[in-house]
Amino acid sequence: MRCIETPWEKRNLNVNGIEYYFEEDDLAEDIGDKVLKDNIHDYQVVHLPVNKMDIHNKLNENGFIFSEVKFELKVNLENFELPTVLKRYTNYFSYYKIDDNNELEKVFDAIKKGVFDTDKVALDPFLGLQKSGNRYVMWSKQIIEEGIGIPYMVRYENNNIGFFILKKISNTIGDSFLAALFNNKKYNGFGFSVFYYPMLEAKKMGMKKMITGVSSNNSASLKLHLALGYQIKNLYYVMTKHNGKIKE
Amino acid sequence: MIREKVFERLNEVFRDVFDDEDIILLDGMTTSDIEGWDSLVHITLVSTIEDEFDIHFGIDQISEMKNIGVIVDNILELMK
Repeated sequence: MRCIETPWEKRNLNVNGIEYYFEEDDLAEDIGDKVLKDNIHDYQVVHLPVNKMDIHNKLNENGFIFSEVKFELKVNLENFELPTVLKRYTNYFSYYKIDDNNELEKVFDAIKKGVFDTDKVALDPFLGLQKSGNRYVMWSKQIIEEGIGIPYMVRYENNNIGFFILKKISNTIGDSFLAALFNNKKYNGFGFSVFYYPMLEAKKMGMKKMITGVSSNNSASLKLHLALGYQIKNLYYVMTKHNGKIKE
Repeated sequence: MIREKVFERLNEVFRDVFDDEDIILLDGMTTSDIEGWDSLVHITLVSTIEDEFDIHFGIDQISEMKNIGVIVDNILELMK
């Protein structure tokens, strides 16, 4: 098991956080009080391989609650092709790199208003949609400032309908880091566009593979990614614990 | 084709796409009334309805298809 202190969550969520990454060969009986009776961190997040139910149950008995199944997805860009049923739509959609700060702020405003309403932080009764939005904004700003994240706007005819941020992992691997339709553009059948154009742009940049992460709380996103050719690389449970807090 | 007949055939399309034999469509029903009506299902619905009625929706019609009554109106219009 690996432990990672998450000091950035103090800024993002105003919590003293730590994350644990369990491995396949970890045993339930080896989990010590350092994890189960932690009185240093007020927000603990566990990533656990999905078949480790004994560890899940032990954590659950000690106050950790299930948050989501996280799907790690990957797709080979060399031979990917848009499904036939979606091809007809591409004449009406376009995308461009966001260079204007005012426009980027509009994207951040949309994130703050809650486009990611299935995020585990948004669904957490102790954290909520606003903190989730602020967290994504700070995270996005950081990778954009570091030069590894590039924001794009997606348009349908003459309207901005959503955005995506493409993160460069290496010269050959991209990460579809963040993508969403704006709240007033959802439920139109446009969802595929914010996941398809990162693939197209990454391929234009010479990348060979794309990765991304999708929550089980967002089945619509998962289905769209699979329809676009993504495959499941790995999946794990995510559990959380807020020390010293009990849900009313 | 009369509106009732379109409703009947559309109902069968919905039952097939959503794999739910209990669906009974009503004029005012919207995307939120049918469980699982997400972005990908929306696109599947469009192509299945087009096949069933031998029509072709415009992109604006597709984006407005959030209401059963509107879908039926569009089908009737395209079948004229």
